[in-house]
Amino acid sequence: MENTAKFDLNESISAWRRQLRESPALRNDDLEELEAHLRDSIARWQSAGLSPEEAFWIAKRRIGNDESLACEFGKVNSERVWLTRALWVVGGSLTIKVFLDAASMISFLGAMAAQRMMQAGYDFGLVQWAGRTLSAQPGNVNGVALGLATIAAYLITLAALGWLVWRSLRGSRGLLSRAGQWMQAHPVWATIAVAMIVLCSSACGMGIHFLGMRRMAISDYSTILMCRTYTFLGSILAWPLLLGWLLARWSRQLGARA
Amino acid sequence: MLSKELVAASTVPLVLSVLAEGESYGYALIQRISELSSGEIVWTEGMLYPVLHWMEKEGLLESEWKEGEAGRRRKYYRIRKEGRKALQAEKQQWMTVNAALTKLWRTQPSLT
Repeated sequence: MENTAKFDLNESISAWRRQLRESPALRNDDLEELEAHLRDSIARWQSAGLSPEEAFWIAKRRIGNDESLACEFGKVNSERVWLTRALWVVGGSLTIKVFLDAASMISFLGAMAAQRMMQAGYDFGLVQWAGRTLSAQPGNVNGVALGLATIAAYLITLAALGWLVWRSLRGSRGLLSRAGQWMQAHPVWATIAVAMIVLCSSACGMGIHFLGMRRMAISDYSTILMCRTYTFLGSILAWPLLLGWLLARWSRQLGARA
Repeated sequence: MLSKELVAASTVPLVLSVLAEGESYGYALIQRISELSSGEIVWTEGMLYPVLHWMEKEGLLESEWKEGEAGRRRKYYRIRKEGRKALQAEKQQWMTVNAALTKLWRTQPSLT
């Protein structure tokens, strides 16, 4: 029990409401109704001689815990619960698409930069290294450098984007549910926004190829394409691993709660 | 105290019967039923609302936000024609069970 700070009834009620709002099973109208109930109940316990804090805890207990409330309301508002799940799926696939396009674009840029540097004579000892370790012919060193640059840029971009999304999600838990609410309130704008994101993302992903074809020797361009294909294959293998890791974490969390 | 199963089964007829007396809101409904049963019928209070919403979806009730005393907004529920019909049917069934049990128990007065 908290007895350190002074008890603020209104703040406690809004904290309770915020907690309940996390579940898609409860609409705003439901929250309004439950809060009216909670306030009636608190008033009654207070008039029976309890302190505001005691009255709040008893009223909260009698109204039921968050999980069983969400479960029961979910039966009536099942449509809303499923819509929210669908929104998560759409949001997730959109994020992955933007991730992949951005990573592919940046890896291409990285490869182009590497090629420029090699042409200008900065090879960081790669020519010697490739000749020694991979016994590559001088003509193939270009390809090795391009491939390494592509793969490195691709992986770094994916990791950086993943870290960014992870950070912003952890930083504000309400961000996603607010975005979901906005999308439900403005379906037309949400559709336009999603379409624009897909279009821009695809345009960036494809535009870089035009740049490559115009600016690079065709042999270098095809080397990059080949390396990118290998990287893609590697990253496709990474997705199931990532999914497995997420599921393992998730089930451990659920287990801890149960 | 009533068993969980019986509480669940009796919620709809109880709600319909109280609302047949006049419109009311969730908290008042719970208070009324608690009074009527001398505190024997205890609901997890929040669970009443999904039931009310389901009954509204089924067309048994209708609801409206209204401002009560001290400017407090509450959602009031009113029984509809379909609700009264459903109440009649419920009444019949509960009476049947009640009559059968009463007859059985009257012959064995030691079991009270």
